[in-house]
Amino acid sequence: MDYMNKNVVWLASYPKSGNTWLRILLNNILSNSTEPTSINQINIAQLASCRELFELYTGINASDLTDSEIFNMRPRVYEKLSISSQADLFIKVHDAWQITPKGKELFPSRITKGGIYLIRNPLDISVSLAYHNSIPIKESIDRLNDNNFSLSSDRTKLPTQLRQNLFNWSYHVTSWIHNSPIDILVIRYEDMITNIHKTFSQILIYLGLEFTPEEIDKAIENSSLKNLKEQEKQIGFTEKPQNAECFFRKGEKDSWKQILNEGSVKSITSTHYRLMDKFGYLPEE
Amino acid sequence: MFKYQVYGLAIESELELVDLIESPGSISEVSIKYGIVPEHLPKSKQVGVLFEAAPNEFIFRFEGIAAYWVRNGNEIIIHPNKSTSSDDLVVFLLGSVMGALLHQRNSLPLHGSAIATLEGAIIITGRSTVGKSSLAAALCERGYQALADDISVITEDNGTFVLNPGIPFFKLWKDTISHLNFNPQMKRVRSGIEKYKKPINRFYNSKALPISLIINLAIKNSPNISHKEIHGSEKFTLLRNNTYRMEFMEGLDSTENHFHQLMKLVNSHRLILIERPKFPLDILELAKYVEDNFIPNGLHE
Repeated sequence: MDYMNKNVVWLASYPKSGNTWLRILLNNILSNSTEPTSINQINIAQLASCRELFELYTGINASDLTDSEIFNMRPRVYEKLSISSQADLFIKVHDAWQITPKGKELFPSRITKGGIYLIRNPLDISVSLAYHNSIPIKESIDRLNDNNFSLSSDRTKLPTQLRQNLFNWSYHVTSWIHNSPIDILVIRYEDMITNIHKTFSQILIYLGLEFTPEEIDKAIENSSLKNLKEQEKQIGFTEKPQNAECFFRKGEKDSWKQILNEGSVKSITSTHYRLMDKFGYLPEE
Repeated sequence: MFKYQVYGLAIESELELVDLIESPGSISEVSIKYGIVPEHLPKSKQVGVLFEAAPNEFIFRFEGIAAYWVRNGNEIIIHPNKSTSSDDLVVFLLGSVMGALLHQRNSLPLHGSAIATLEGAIIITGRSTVGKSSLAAALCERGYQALADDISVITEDNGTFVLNPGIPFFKLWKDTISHLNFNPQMKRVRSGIEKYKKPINRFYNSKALPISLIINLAIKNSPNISHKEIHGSEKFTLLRNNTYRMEFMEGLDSTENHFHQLMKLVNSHRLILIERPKFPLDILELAKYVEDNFIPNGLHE
């Protein structure tokens, strides 16, 4: 039996909640470079839904498998990935934390060092999702509220990534911060906006990484929205959907106030009231 | 026993393989039999989720479906589960298991499809989902013969790299079938997935064809199709990364041999990177682009 080393840190989030920003921050601070790292070489993290990663460790075309078969194999893929590395591994995840049909943790505890869950106000997510996917706000809200929503689920063609079950926003949050046995660090995107130095420092302490305040500030500066937008303008960003105008857009909080109408706000708050209240996301009266 | 010809190999099989070209009377180089497969290899160099690899030995085990044991590049032993359908048995036999056999035989299998032109074979490689099979199928609709889908097997014939005819079926997604107006009543590759087997109407079933060109198909965030020739180390890396079941090579101890073959291929053949828009995938437009730019003399009869 393979020896399991707890060396995986899951970087988990619902889409458009700051996962890319966090990965770029980590990429910059761990690069030992004073220059900004390329946005198209965020080498610090693997992608949990990467088709090539799955095929590398299974030795099979994922396209010849059913969703259920892929789902049941994914935990062993992550275990093989963990075994292959002496160092700590970051793995980006959009899936909800789940148990597979065979009763295994999708993200195995026995290889897990920790997890960071990035949370963002779903009112702002709905706006960001609409821009990112070039869809109407209503469709964006429907996805946030959909108990069965999945990414890359179209089975009439081959999606670039493996299917990821998100469920609705509240379930996604609950799955990671309550259902999973992982000692999760929950980070609010809004706290990254208002006090990035303090929040990023908190993340580094959780990860057991020591850097000077100057190094932290440099990484923050190299990961600033201004720098990222400039890079995207110069070289493009491979993670940008083709129809989106840009990936790095506004990176702000409360932009929903200028965009969402009363009906849209109510649709989100009525569905996700409890967690929005807990994390301070309910609109002021 | 059934006898077939595929990838330049004469195969005899206890299992009927209706997808392959029959070749009665041929002297077999590879045998496929039912039998017992060991739980593990005694000298595994590499263990994946579904496979174990050692020099000249390989096991592929799909729990609930079958176990396959590949030995010395000339023998495949299959132990199926009682309830396994023939479709399931065949899809993995002609996929990953065949890939291991080809590496054991020191062939050079690329992950891609291939068509025949007057100048020779054009191989279309690229990542999963990029549209290799769809492009080959679309070129077939334009009148070209296809030699292979999914696995394109290169061997050396008196110092010349040749492409060996493969399996006379495309594996296409429902989306592509609709786009190319194919008959929707096709057999699924396996139950539970929306991928279908389409017979290659114009199948090149003759002796192995010298290679004319290798294309690497990729996606970019741009509305237009473009291309450029790839040279140097990037060329080597792209071809290596497009080797079928590259992950088996370390355990099979075939990495060094593969390296030498790839170096020769890199030095003797052009590699063109064609980048297509992510959306929409107009496969007919892409096929026309390939024809206009890379098939100067048109159809191969």
